[in-house]
Amino acid sequence: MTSPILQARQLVVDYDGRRSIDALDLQVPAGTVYALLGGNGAGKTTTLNAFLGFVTPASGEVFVDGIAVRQDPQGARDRLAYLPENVALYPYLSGIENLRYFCTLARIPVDKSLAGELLLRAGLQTAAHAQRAATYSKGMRQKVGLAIAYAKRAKAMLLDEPTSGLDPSAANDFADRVRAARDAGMAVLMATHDLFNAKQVADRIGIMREGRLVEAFAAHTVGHDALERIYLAHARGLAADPFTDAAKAAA
Amino acid sequence: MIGFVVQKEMRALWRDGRLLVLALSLCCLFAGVMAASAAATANAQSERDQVGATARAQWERQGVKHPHRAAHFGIYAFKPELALAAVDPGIGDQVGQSLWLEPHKRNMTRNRPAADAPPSARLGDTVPAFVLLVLVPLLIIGLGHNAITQERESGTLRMLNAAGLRGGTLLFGKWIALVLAVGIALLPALVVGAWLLAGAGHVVSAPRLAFYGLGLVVYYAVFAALTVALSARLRSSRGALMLLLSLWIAAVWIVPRLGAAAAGALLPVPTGEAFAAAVATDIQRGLPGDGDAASRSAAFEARLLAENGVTRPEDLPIGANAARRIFRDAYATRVYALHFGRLWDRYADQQNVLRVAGLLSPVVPMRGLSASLAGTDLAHQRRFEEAAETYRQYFTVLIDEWDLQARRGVVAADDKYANDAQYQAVAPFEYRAPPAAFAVVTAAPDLLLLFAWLAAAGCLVRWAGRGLRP
Repeated sequence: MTSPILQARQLVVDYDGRRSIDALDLQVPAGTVYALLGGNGAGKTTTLNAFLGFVTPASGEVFVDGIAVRQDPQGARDRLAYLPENVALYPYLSGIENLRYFCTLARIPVDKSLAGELLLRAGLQTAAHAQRAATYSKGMRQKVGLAIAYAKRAKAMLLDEPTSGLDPSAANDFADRVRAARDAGMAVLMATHDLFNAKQVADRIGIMREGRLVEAFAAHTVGHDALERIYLAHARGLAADPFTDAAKAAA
Repeated sequence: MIGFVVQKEMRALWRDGRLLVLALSLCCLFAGVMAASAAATANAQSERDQVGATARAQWERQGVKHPHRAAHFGIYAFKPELALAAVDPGIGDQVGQSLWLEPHKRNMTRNRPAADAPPSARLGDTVPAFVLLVLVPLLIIGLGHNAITQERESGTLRMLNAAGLRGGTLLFGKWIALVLAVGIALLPALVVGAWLLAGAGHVVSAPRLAFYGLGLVVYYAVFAALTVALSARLRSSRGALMLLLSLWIAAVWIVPRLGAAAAGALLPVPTGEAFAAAVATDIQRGLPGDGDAASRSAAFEARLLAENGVTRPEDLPIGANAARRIFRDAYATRVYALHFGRLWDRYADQQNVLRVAGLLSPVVPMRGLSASLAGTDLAHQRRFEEAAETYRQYFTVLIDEWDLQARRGVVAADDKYANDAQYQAVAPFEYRAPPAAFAVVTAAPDLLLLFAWLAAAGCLVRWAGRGLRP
């Protein structure tokens, strides 16, 4: 088995006196999309923040491509791409200018022509490249975010609610691009509420509740309905073994 | 990489219109204030020139009279102002515009503009230095208070952090961009200001202007650094703005006034009456070891008679009264020099106490530098008054020397034998402002303080950059 690109070992994070992540063990190998499902406050975004080094673990460790984030957060970030729920761009700069700015500050030289290629690869049409980002839709902004990830040649990508607010077509388009990134060998960790998107894109799905990873399974082992039942059962705290129950029901 | 941040910031400032609005506002404001100040300074200079010419003409046409009575007509000395005085009048309004030079007495300046100012002057003068030293820092705060907080609030800082940004790079880039933006916004205003100064007939000293520009760049860089660093450390733009405004009020209004009050309390200067009384006492009673006026005069008279081999003043081959006056005035001059020297030294000490307040506010050293380069500080005033005093001694002694040579013994004071040709032979008072080097040396502590502020501000930016978190 290849060593995981993203790894959390017995991760514990406290935030504002509350346990946000509790003994989380998680591994995302290269060429894998891992979807973290869970309600608000389940700890999904905090998990991403731990990989980014934005929160300091109370105990446990997180690694990015073998680098302990606590010891070398900058080195870890150099290997990561991150797309928040709302990709924030500078409204007075064009798509190309935004991309070049983010890349330059990440110490990745990107000239104008390469920037254009990266944006095209991310799905942003040429006509939009020189437009100011203030005029961009959420989907267009995400494409700029994806182009940044491509430019970085990141080993792993962290996605925080990537399809929230996207229309179905844009969400589908985005899913295609995530799969393409996975096929190119990237490890993708995605925090989402979107069960459909998770089932459509992910190789593995983990369900978080109150900071704990309460269920993890291969995405192909459940159907859409079963996934929904498992998710709701955990969200409501009803089932002792929701996965088994749901799998039985599906069978 | 810092250059890229600067480029991006400048582009954003230009595209969102803030730079243009700022430049236009500053240009209009500065041009208005500069035009008023340049015209007022030129008018004042013209009035001084006219009064000086009239007084000189009157001096030269006094007719036949006793030379000492002619000397008592007196001569007015006016301090010619440098072009930059229109930018920063400094202590100009607080000190007199003219110095009346007369025998026996060294006067203080008279005709203070502040005494004739309308009530609105109490609200504070809007001179170009006020715009440059007080309002521009406020604009820096307005422009830069959200330099980082806005990135934090919009989420771009989180993305930049995730992309692997080094905080220092962003902050130093923002800092430089902010200074550059203010410089660009100010440039049209300064060009218009220089044009107005030239139009009002002022000739600007290039070295003084260059040092003034250097001081302003450092001064603005300090405010920009504080603004960016605090923006990086605070969570919200509103919080950053409130804190920065509080610091601006403290730096611009509170610290300089407290410093001045402390300087006045720690090192008080005598009132005009007390000063005059102390001088009179020292002349009458004599400085330590000199004896009183009567004994000094008696000793002088005895020496004078002995030197000339006579026993009575009436037999002296020179004017006895002129010789006595020269002796008495020389002593008075010595006493005046001592007291004025102490007074000016006390002012300088007060200035040094005020400089301590400069450790708490960069406004204090910048004001000192500004006034010094404008030639409107205490050091320039002292130099002028000392030059005027030297001239007073020259013309009073010259006239007494005529009297001394033209008389024999004791002659009645109403003899009339001096005429216009003699008065015209007294060279007019011509004063040239000292070179820029004088101003720079005088203001060296202020300049050093400003650079210390700059170094501290740079460290603050570095520190804020290290801990930059989304």
